[in-house]
Amino acid sequence: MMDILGHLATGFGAAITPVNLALCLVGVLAGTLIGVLPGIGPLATIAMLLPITYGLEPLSALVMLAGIYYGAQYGGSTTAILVNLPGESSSIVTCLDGHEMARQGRAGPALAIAALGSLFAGTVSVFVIAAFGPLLAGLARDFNSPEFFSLMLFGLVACVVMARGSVLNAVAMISLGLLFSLVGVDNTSSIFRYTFGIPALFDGIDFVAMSMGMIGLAEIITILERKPKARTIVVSKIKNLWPTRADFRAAWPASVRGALLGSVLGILPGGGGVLSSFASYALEKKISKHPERFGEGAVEGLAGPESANNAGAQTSFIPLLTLGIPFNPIMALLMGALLIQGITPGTAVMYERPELFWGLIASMLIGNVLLVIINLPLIRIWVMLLRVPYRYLFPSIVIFCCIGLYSVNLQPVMILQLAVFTLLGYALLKFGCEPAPLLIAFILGPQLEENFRRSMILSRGDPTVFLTRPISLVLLLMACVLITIVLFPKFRSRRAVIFEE
Amino acid sequence: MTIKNWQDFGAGCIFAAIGLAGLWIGCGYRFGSLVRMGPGFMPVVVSSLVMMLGILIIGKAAFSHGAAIEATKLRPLILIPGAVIAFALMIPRFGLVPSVLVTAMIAGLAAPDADIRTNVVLSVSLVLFGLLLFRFGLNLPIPAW
Repeated sequence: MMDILGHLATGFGAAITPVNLALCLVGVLAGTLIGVLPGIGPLATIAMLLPITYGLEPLSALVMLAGIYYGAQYGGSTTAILVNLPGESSSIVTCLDGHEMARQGRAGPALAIAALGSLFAGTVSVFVIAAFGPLLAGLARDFNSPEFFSLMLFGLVACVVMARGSVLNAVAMISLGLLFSLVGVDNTSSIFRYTFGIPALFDGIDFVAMSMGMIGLAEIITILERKPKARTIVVSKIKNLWPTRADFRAAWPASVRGALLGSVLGILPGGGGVLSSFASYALEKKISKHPERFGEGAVEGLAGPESANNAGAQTSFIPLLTLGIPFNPIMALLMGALLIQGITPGTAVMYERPELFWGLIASMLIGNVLLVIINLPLIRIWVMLLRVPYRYLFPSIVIFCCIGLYSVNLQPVMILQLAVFTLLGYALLKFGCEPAPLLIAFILGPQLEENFRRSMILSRGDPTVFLTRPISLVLLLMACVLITIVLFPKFRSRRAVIFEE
Repeated sequence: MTIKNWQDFGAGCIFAAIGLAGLWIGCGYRFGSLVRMGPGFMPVVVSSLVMMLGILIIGKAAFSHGAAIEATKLRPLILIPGAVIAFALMIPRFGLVPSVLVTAMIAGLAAPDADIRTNVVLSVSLVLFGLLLFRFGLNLPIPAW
């Protein structure tokens, strides 16, 4: 425990600089903003803002980008409560009881419960990260190439399980991501692979262009194809923010359960805010003495998921920071940001640059407090922003992507890559393929090849090396279990139900 | 073969085509052996995987029904990538102001409820915003015009 406090002190020392505090504020504000606005999520926003972080210190970049992610969880719930429209997918369940409370004229208390629950859960999960992070990193300290290869394979299998839609499609998207990651110069032989003589491809496909195109712009096209929906904002005047004593009594146990559940689920592959909020809602409904009240403004049904999604969002940083494996697409983007800075996240970074890990954790605590302070008074402004029609929003996104990408190295070819990946991403979306597994595979690809190559040299070409080393074997067995579960019909139908809801 | 699931059929075709192209090119690199993997090892293995999965998905399309593909609207599909390409072509020659103006105009037209007046207002404000933030705020080395 003293250890943790000591580490946190280091972290606060690194995080509390004028620049980092300002960037933390920018991050959480941007996160809340895009969380409020439906039709643009943290994934697209982080992709858009990646180029801006190139000039920053690694910690500053990380602080800002992380702020966007957990800030979006706050913003998403505001939209869900006031407009019955989830600003983020992690606040879908917030619509159920949160919006019902607003319709009963209790929008103020609903917003306050959501914000306070998030703050509480954010704090709890910071301590979870501080306690479990070093533990996991210590475990990975003895890892060698075969273990890392198996770990990455396990991570990729986990992406398949968590991806929406057909399992086969997800596996194909992962393979395609690996194929794309091969483009560029091969490190061992210095041979150019799949570059077609285009100098811009010598360093490989640009990750930022790819993620902007496949996530941001491809989604714009699909949104524009649908008919615009009219939004009705229930409450224009929010009076009386403070919840009643009865609300508090109902909310706090749910918040505690949500925070713990979210913290655990966030660490799991594919986890994060979305899974946590769904699981927490299901749990609250199950243990409630009055499950019939759910959907009619039950305070627990709001407090639980709101706490869980924030906790899950924050603990999903653990695998990235301690093992160097991104378990969800947001973490893949953050890993991309670190790689561009010349830092390969993982165990080594934790020991060699502790200020990076602990600084980020400290910034999460600061960011959560900032969110509550700025959010409750600013609700009026967020409500106003909700009225901004999408047709003002999407041209701005296009412009931001273009300028941001061009600013990196002033090469117009980068922007052409953006156009190509927009079209590819759109086609794949149309055919029911989610882009997330492809991005994760793309970012893991080079390390996967490198570790496989090293393992083979280590074992003199004997592929059973992955089965004879105990940690590697356990990881592969876990991957097999996951595959079996996902192919098992009963789980498949349940998985479909979870994603449908 | 009758196709029952057009979504799967489309996805399968994309995977199979990219996999085949990857394999074709990948065979040109030295494959090596397990101990001494050449630069062609991963390309061949991964492309074959992509191709086979593509064929498998096409095969699945013949047997299981699936959701129909939602209707495509050509307007955003052409105008959004079109705006991006316009930016790529204009920015090295004309600088920030004209490029942003044209790109925003083209992108704005992609909305189903687009009208010229709001489009012009939006484009001009994006130019101003872009200038303030990127040229003067972040001091990017992109000429204004």
